[in-house]
Amino acid sequence: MKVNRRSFLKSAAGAGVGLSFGGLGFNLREAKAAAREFKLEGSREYTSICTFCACGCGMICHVKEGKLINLEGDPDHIVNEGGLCSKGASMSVIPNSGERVKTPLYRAPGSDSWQEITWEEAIERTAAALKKARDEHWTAAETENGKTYQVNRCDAASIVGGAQVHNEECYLMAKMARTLGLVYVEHQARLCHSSTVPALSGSFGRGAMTNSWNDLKNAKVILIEGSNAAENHPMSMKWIMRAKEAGACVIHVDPRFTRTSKIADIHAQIRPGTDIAFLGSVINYVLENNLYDKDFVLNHTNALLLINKDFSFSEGLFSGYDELDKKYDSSSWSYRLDGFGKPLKAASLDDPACVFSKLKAHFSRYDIKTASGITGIPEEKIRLIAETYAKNGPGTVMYALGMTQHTVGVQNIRCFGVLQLLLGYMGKPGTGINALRGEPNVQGSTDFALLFNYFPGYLSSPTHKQQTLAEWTKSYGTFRAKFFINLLKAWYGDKASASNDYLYGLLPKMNANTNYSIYRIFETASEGKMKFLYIMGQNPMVTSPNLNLVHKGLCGLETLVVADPFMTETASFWEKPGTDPKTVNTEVIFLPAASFLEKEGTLINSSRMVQWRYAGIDPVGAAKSDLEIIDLIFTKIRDMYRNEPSENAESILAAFWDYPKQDMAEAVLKEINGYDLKTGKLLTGIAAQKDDGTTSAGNWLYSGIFMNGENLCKRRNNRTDPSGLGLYPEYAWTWPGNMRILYNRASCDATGKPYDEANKLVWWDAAAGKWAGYDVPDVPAAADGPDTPNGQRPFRMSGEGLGRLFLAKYQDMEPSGAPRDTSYVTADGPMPEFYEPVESPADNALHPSVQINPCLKYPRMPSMQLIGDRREFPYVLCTSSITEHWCGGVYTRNVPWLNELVKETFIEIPVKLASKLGIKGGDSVNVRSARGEIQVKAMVTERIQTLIINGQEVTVVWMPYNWGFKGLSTAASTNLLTIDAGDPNTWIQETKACLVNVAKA
Amino acid sequence: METIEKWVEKRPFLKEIGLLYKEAAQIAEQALPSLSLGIAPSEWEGLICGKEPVMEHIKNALAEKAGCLLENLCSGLSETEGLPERFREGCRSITGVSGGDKSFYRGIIFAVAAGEKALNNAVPIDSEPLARFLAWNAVRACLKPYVGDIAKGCEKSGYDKPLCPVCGKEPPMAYLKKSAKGRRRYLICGCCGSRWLYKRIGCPYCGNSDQKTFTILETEQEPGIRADVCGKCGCYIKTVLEPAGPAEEEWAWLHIDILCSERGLKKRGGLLDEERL
Ligand SMILES: [Zn+2]
Ligand SMILES: [Zn+2]
Repeated sequence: MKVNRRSFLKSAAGAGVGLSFGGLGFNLREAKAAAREFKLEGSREYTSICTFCACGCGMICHVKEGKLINLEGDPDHIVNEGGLCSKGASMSVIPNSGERVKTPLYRAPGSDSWQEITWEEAIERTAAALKKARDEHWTAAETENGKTYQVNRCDAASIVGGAQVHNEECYLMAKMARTLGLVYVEHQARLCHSSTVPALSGSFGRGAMTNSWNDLKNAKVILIEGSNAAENHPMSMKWIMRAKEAGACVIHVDPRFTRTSKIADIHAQIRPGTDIAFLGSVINYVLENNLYDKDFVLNHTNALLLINKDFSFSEGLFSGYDELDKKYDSSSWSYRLDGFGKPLKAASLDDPACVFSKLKAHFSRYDIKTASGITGIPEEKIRLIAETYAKNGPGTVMYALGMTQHTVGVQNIRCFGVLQLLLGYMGKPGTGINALRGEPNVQGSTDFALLFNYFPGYLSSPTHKQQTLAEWTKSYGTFRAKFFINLLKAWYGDKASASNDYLYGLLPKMNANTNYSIYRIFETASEGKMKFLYIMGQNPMVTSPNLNLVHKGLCGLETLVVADPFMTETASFWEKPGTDPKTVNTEVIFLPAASFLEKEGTLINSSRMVQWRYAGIDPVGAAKSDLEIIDLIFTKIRDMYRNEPSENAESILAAFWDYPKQDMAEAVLKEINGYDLKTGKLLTGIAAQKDDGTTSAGNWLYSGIFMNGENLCKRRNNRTDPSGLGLYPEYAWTWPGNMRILYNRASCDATGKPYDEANKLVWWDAAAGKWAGYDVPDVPAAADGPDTPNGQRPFRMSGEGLGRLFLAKYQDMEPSGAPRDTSYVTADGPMPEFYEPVESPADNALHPSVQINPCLKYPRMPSMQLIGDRREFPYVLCTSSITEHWCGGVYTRNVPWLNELVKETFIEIPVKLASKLGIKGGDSVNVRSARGEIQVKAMVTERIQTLIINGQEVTVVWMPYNWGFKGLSTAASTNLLTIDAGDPNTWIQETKACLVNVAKA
Repeated sequence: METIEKWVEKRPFLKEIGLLYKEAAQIAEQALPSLSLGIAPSEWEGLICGKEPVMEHIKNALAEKAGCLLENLCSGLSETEGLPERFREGCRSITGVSGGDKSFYRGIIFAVAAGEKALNNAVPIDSEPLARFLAWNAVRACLKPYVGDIAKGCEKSGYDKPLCPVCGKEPPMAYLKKSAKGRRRYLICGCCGSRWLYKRIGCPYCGNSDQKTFTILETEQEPGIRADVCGKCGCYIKTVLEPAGPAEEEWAWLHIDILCSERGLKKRGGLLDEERL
């Protein structure tokens, strides 16, 4: 509201002028004397952000005499509005816990104990070990087909971690790792949502959750699939319930009846790993019954574009399959082009050569009966869901690891892309695809590219075939090359210039044919090739699949460094029950890290909202922030190379690295935001970046986070929401450019008029000659109207500028003939196709000859990666997390209250199976897979029903995976059982579906 | 009334002042049925949406009702045993010059509500502060039944200013209240008694929101209140943690103001000035 402050101030003055109790005749002597007896004590409050799921809930912490005395939900926070889940509410324990590690520790090779060391020694040892791995295993160049390529790489050192630490820490880690020549740079996102990025960026151009937590309230129908949001993203329920109060229908599709199913109007129990069959049938139903949004499909998707004549699909395989290499040549998955290289368009959706017809033909095999046979969901329920979802828009999708952790993870999520585009459920309030990120800063650690295949801002990592920036640009386009130049200016400063290719040549070049994922870190370590591993804020000895392999890998390292607030199973892997420490020759350095309440910096939640965490207390003991630790390690290594010049040190010595000890996080954030190097001023946004070396930006996506010197992510205005849609444009800051709902141009028709005037986000303002709105319009240029090509690019971050129903191979060319941008193509097909999990209780009903994903390469290490047979392992195991414990449990298993709530690992067994095996609730049972065996307590449940799959009974069991042998609560690790077969696009493992046997212990 | 008694029992140094508020409350309570301003709960949202303080729109009705109460306060308090003689004498002198004219009292309320520097010319210069003090107490008593509606109206209309939506004054006090949306902060007007939702962290006086510059002062003897101090402007706002009864009244925390004043902290807002340096 607008208030005339002057009129208020006029009356504010002179309220009590001249008034006092004393003046009125009251005697204040006694009151003054009494007051003198009082002692005033100082304390302070600061805001922080919760450190569990990526709801990004706000907390207010109260500190007295350096101790955290209270922690409560922030009432002004737009996501949690004062609420906190049981985990978040218990976090005052963290800085006060006796379990915190307070000094650096060293475990010598073969030793059975830790010894305390100084920080100086810890940093010296870490730097020396990293330097040794580099110097002894440096690959300056490699040869392929007789040609030599400069690669500047070390394959014997690796970095893991980042979803728990701040953006600034992720950024410095990425900068350090890459300038050191490391390519094995990975973190938890690989294991949780790596399949999200290619699926969403392939469909729409960007890899992130499209809408926001608050926007859920605008939906009229919500499809939650592969997520137990009520337990794992508790605050999302606040917004779902608000939608429900306004009449929304909630559909939950999951292998179990969970707390989320409880609030749903429709629940369908699905067999793990069969989501494509289910969603395929919904897509088919929409197509067959003309339930799609024709105007949206025609104007905002590639439905009309004509597909190459050579494209085909038959018996489970797309055209171009190479059986030997298990790889597709995707050249036939392309458009027919005109003379300018632009796709040819059909006159109508009926043209058999257009995308729409290809899509319709492809999904026609997914009739409801077939889908029911594969998934176990009754036919009538599939029909009910399809009808309800298609006819009650706006509709939104929420999903989590139940969709991502499969060997078809990317194509699972691609189904959502196809469905939402068909129904026009994109870019509008209450629509979109909400990828529920599960770690506090996993969006940030992904944005900042602690993943081998990216550099900050989703710039593809250079391979040996891209020796120059020009060659890289040929693959990825000029649009992104500009951002790469800004990145190189941020990394190498004045030393990078056009004349030396911005020192692109110094960067490490991956081998284009090699998989550098986290799974390979442990596999190469177990083969003795990986020598050094640095882990921050991640606990792979609990959270990675196939833990016996992980353990073997850790035993094969020369040096393991772990930075964490608490001792982890990973750092103490040599103490794992059944292991003789004498046989483990890995030296281990433990660096005590500050907890999230003890350091400042930013993190970004699932809604892409970057928020500032304040630090109100000092780190416990001698703990240090990861930011400070990374700075110490890098400067130490640089000193070592300065003293002992070496061929492989050029990149390290060239890097700009000079950060102030005071307010280091903000200084790093400024480098990320970027500068105009001529004026020295902070860049005002992405549009201010230039490709001539006169600007810098550590991550182009974050440009504009500072405005007129103000750090916008500190903003807390929860009252300004002119649209009433929950956008809150002055609360913190979202990328890109403070946009709240991605692809919002698609909320308007071709002429720029909102489809829904009552709930409009943006529109073309003809009078002003620009795009306007409550949200930042998602258009290439604000002044380019609907009558220009730029005015018809609702999905402007894809090459075509359109939503992609079919992931065609396509490069958008500039008039000059240079590639401007390249669209993403998935490895395993341009449209989703159903394949069974690697370990499956059933045959593939669609094409028995192609049972599993044909591009899957597994086992990678046959001796450690056995595949279970359904006769020996008849039950399907699905795993996930619970409200009370989180991920590897390093925080939550050190909170006594949470341990009381849920004590240990258990297995949920359906009543029918339990009675068959004679198991009662509380009994100990042995659970065995091809990879391992553990003993846990049984919980006999009605929440999972036996399914009928293609006429056969199939039983699903479920286990949480959050335990290990350290912390205040110890129990068996479920991931000893799980399989590490991975999706061919991102290698994400199939932890949601493997086979086990269960027996009473 | 019992709560005021309990309050001063624990804090005997406030006995005399407590008596004043107890008596004033009793007088107001007797007059209450005739004080209604006739504003429906739903009307406040619209009134608050205006560009000016709500007072601009209700000052006529308020002058009418609060004028009557002011007359009763002057006569009633002048006869209250135990109040300072100078205070009672002041009340008598106002009653004396009024000549029993209702419009005299109405004029005082109107002047106060309109934010005018000078009161009714007939008020002796020595009695002017007292007249002003009693006038605000009368206004507060008239608005008391609407305090909840005003707070709701503020929330609905999105009112987020640090100045009283009703009278436009700065708030000397705040309270934190547990709700389904966490412990939210409401500001309290020291003059007209309105409350309104305000951001939990941030200085209402200078707009500072740099968390590193705020400190909180607490005292063991009074765990129900704290002073939130802004390092930028040097002001503090008393923040009540257990809002109920006298704890929501400014007079009840006189000793906290004295304490803060002795610490060199600046007070803003409210009716009473003596602890301002
Ligand atoms: Zn007021
Ligand atoms: Zn201030």
